[in-house]
Amino acid sequence: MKQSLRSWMADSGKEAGLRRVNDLVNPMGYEVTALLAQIEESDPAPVHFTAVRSLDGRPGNFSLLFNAYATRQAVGTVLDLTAGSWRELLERYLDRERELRDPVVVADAPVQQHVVTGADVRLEALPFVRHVEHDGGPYFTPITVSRKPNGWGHNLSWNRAMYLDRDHMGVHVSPRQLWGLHREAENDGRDLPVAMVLGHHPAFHLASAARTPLEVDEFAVAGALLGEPLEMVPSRTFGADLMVPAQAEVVVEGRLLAGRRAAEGPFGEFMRYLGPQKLSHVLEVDAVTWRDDPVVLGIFTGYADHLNAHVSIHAGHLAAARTAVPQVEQVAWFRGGGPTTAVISMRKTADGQPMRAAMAVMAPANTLKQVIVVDDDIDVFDAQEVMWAVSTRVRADVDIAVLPNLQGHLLDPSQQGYAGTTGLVIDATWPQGAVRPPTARVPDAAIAEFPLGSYRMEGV
Amino acid sequence: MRMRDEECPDCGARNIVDSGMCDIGTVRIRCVGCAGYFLPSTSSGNRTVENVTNAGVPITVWEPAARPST
Ligand SMILES: Cc1cc2nc3c(=O)[nH]c(=O)nc-3n(C[C@H](O)[C@H](O)[C@H](O)COP(=O)(O)O)c2cc1C
Ligand SMILES: [Zn+2]
Repeated sequence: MKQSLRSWMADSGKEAGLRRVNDLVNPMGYEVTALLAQIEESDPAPVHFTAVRSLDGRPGNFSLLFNAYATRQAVGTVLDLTAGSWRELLERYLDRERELRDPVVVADAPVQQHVVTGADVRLEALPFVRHVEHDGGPYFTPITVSRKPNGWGHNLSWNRAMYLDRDHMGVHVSPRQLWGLHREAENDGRDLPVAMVLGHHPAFHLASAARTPLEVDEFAVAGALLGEPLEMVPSRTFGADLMVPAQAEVVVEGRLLAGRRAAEGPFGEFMRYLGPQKLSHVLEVDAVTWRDDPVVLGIFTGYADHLNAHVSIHAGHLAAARTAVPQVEQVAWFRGGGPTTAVISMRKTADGQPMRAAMAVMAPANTLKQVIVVDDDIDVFDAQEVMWAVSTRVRADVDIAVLPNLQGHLLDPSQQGYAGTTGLVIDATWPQGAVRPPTARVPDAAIAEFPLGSYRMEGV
Repeated sequence: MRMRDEECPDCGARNIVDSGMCDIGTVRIRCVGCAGYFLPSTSSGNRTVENVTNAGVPITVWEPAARPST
């Protein structure tokens, strides 16, 4: 069975560059993220902290895995593919995501080898992590499982979750699918049953961020990315009304309360700022279940791990742009600002295509507010080249469009209200039919004819 | 999201907070330094919890019964 975090570590750890820290660490004292920050500078890699203090300060039996997505190579092993570039990785990701596999119910539930419920729940026994300066304190970055209506299966959502007391956490939910499911329940006066998966195969976590239509079972997307059907079992609290992944490491079962919010945050976010403290959803915990030697998968927030974990969203942009304009070649993001700004390259065949492609990536993603479109001679992953195109192919009065009243992202510090922002499209492609001046460069033939190595050159 | 920088009166820690949450006036900030709760230094008092959270039903703000010992 390859669909577990431990099987990924055992089978792909070497290729992913996985390291182990066996010294006892205190994640609430920034010890884990301090080590990760230094590794990020020298040689980013996944790290398994095998001996970890729990929130109560005691050495616990839960270990922590961070940086599963720290590098392109690591992300490749998560998806069980090798890719020489981000471009190739995104293409292969999209191939994988299309192979939906329905989940299967199994009898064996390693994730329920240990179960505590009700008054015995003590979240302090878990290894909560303090990530960055000024953040709100004890956090996990789990995957929230909930059930969709109309037999559409399961919803997966990636949500930061902050410890509040022994059986409550504050959960940040952006206004997307999980938010909508909770709102429907809340409007009927009902809590929303959920299961927070604290650790599973890292491909399972990626499935949660995929831009999936509401009527598609996101357990089937997890199956697509895992390359085999996701194994599931009834949750301890809700039975068959809420299924949970059988091979997960730790699951926290509970309810997102109706009519309740709590102060939650700040937290280091993908835009590389602190996302502020805000009023967020409240999880009341009914049960915690885990397997022997449980591993919690954490995200090193604000750093490469965090941005790379958006690979499913990034690939979704590429797919959306191509659906609108088949001539689209690539879509890139930058570490500065992450998913707020995208660059699209295309083999333009008609004026107006850049705007159409830009709207296609913007429409489904509330993170994206700025899009630059370039010709296919530009490497979209090279910010210098992109700026060269912007500098030399753009006339502001005709090539720049400002889109007022666009739904934006809560965590964008430039945003003023709950969700309203302004879109920007910069068309840095040559106009159709324009003479494209040749770039100033020495002819290749001359370089071949006069190889530097055959000349005597000396310093002065 | 517009933000405010609020200093905890108990421990002096710096708290980065959604300004909408502070506009309500009755909702307390949870301090990142000491996990205690305090009211924002000023508030326009011109927004409701429901408006700030974009909720469709009346919302009660939940706080833990006691400050955690950890
Ligand atoms: C590492 C990572 C962390 C994320 N954290 C959050 C979060 O705390 N809250 C949130 O609403 N979205 C978060 N997202 C964005 C999610 O992709 C997205 O909200 C969610 O999975 C969408 O699911 P939904 O439409 O089913 O609600 C995160 C994404 C990634 C890759
Ligand atoms: Zn304080």
